[in-house]
Amino acid sequence: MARPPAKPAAKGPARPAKAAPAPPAKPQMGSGTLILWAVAFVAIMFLLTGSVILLLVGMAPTIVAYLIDRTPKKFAAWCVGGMNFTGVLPSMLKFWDKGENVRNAIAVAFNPFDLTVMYGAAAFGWMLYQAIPPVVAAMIAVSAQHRIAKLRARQRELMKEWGEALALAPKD
Amino acid sequence: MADAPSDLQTRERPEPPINEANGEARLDAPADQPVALPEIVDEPATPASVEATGEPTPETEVPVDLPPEVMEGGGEPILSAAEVEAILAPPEEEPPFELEEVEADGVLSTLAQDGDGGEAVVGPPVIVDNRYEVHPSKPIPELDSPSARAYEAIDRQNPRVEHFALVPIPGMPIRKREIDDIVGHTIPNILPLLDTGVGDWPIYGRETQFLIFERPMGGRVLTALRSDMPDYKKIDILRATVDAIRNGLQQLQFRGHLHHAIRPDNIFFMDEGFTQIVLGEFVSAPPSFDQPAAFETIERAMAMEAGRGVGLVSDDLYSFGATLAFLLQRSNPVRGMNKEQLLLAKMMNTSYQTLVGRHLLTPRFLELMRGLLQDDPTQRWTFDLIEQWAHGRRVAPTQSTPQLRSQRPFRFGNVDHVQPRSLAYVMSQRRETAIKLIRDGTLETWILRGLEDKDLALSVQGRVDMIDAQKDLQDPDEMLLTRVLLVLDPVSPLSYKTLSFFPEGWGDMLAIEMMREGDIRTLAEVVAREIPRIWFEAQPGGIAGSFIEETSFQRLKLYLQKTTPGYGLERCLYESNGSIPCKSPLVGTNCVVVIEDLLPVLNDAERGVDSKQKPMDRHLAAFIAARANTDVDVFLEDFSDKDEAISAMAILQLYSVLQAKYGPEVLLGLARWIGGQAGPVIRLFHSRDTRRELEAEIPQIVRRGSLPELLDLLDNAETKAKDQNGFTAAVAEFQKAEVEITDITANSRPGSYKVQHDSRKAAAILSILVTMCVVSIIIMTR
Repeated sequence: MARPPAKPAAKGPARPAKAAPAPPAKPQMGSGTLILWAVAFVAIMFLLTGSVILLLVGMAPTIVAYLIDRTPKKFAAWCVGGMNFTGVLPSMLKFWDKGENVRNAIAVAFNPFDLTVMYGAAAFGWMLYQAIPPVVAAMIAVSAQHRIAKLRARQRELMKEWGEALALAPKD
Repeated sequence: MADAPSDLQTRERPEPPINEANGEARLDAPADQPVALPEIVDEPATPASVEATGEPTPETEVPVDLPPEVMEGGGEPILSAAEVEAILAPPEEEPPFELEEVEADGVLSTLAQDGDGGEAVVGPPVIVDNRYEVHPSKPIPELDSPSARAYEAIDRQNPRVEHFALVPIPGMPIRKREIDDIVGHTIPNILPLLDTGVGDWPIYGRETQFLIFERPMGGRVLTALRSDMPDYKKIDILRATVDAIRNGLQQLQFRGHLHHAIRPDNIFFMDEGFTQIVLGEFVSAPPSFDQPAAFETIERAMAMEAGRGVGLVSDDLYSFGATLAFLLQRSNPVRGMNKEQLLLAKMMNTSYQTLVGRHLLTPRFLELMRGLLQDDPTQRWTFDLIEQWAHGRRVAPTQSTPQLRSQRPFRFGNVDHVQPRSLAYVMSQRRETAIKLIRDGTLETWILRGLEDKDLALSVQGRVDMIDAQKDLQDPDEMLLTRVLLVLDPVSPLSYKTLSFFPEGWGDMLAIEMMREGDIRTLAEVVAREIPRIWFEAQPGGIAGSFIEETSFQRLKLYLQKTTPGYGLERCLYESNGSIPCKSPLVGTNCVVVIEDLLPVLNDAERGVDSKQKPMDRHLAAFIAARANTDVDVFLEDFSDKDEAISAMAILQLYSVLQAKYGPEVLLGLARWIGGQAGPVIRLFHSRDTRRELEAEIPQIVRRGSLPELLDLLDNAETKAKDQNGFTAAVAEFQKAEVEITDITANSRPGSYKVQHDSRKAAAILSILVTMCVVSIIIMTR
């Protein structure tokens, strides 16, 4: 539930805040919005039943990645989802070429070749998610060491000019 | 060198023998019994008029001018017949009066004996003031003063005029105020002081002060009077002497000065024809320091020699009378007396009866002597009365104030006392017994029964109660005795422990005691415990009447309370003695009396001292603080700071101020000395570049010998501000870098949240980018 907007402060001397301001609340979906989405999903289910079936079957790894990813930004879901969509897109185009119906959708969705492509792409995405971070972390570490060395050199330069009292000076 | 201590030794007051048996008080004589007189005092002559005797004078050739009262026989009889007879009788039994004989405690003379005069050292003459040649090889013992030796001096500009130089004992507090005022001036009937200066005196092995006088060619008047010249000539000389002393004292009084050195051996003939008589020098020692007890008033003689203070003109007039008495007499009436006996005789029989004996050269001056030797200063003759007498006019007889006397004598110290004054004096000499006397009520009983003075008894009891009420008082018995003695004799000097002095003589006392390493602790105690206040309270005007003196003691107390350099007893010494040279070891054998001479001496001293030694010590700090006419307290406080940089900067600031104010413009040695110790000051600057610049610039300034320039370099506001601002910016930059390093170190570990977040984000972005590329290719290829 979203909080009602705060009332403007009354005129007069400002009063001290009783407590520290709360961190901004995570935007939550309102009940109206949820109903709207549900109505839209049901409508799409009725209008594009085949496409929805294909997407649900093809994007299953992404849904799983979303569910198991505990990070707030859901980078695993993005990583797997991106590549997964790359694998689903050719099958979706093929399905749309055949015609929009449930039978075609099930035929495409459960075609082993298409299924391998869709899930293989998702697996590649997962592989990226596993392989890239260590490389990036190593790059960050190297960059940090370089920066630290540069800062230490500057500090030594300052101490050479101003003496060791610099290090002993009280912090602001 | 050996003279100095020996001279002083002769002045040390010998402690009277404290014999418990003698010191015990005895109040045994009833009122109806005769009072026992002091054993040391002769029976006074029986009063009778001259007319009653009618005897012709044996010395018919000597004109006898008896006082009008005596001749008329009216009023109070001045002389008895026996007295007149005694005066006019030729001396037969008693030996001739030799004043030159040195008595053990300086009752009659403080001059050195023959053979103990000034030392002679073969060597070149010492040049004083670039004008006078003083010959250490030519002493003139006949012109010596008790505290200064006489040597032959030649004026290069005027060699025909005869001079002599007096060389005071080094460290002696000579009378600078008087010297500054009279030097170079001709004052009638005063020995002319022509010049003063400082020179390196080989006899003392150090610099000392010189007093250049015009030489009295006729020698001492006393010598002429003791010669075998006819009596009528002697009387003429005495008459001229009286006129000379009167005029000389009056001339000094016009200039606001007192002599305080009037004694028989200090009167000279300026010419060989014995026509011009002058009073001798009086500036080579503190007031009355050289005066034998016989020539001082009772109260001043009670004080220690150095503690007699400036006093009053009436004190000089008393010395005048006593001197005249001794010059007039063919025999010495106080021969063989020690100081205590002399003082008791004066107290019990009056000064006149004590000092004026039977064998006078002429009775012409009796009236004058009687007027001058009045023990009550208010009754003592003034210049007007002396002049009136000199013109032959009748002087109204003074009415002596009746003194408080007891019908019952009080025996104490082997003396029967009938006056509180003599008792107080003897009590001050036998302190332990005297305290018992007060504590057991014997004194109060005698005051009540003997003196019959209830107020005085109440005052004594009040002092006892006051002391007893102060439970935490230190030395209560001493404080009690000091107070009680002043109750018994308010005009007496302050008597505290081993000291006896007038408060205004405290400064001279300190100087003398420091010079002979005496009891300076008690002197400091006097100031710290506000003992002079007791004396001021006892005076007729009370504290209000001595406000200035009391305030000066309060100031001295403040100096004593601070123990840092520039204060303490050293500061008191220089504040209370304007003529004392600086006693700092850094000054060495130099004689630095005025602040202008200090920096050149320190400049020269630089060659002989360890470069690490500070150019400042307690004596220097105190001397500068006392002599510099500027506020240097802020520098003194910084000088005692534990931080060497602050201390060194304070020294530089202080000497810079002095150089700017007193010169000289170039002080190479001192600049090198202080510049060599500027390390801590330079290290106050943070910037290494600035330090290197300063270190490079100091030698250049040192070569110019300018301390103000050195100060400007090291204490430049612009340089300091620039350095401080730069340092502040550097600190900020350093701390910012440190924060960043800490942040980077914390967030660059592989397991850190930020690294994981960023790396996963990178993977997600890469995945999205690949997706977008592939999707774009698929769509474009359809």
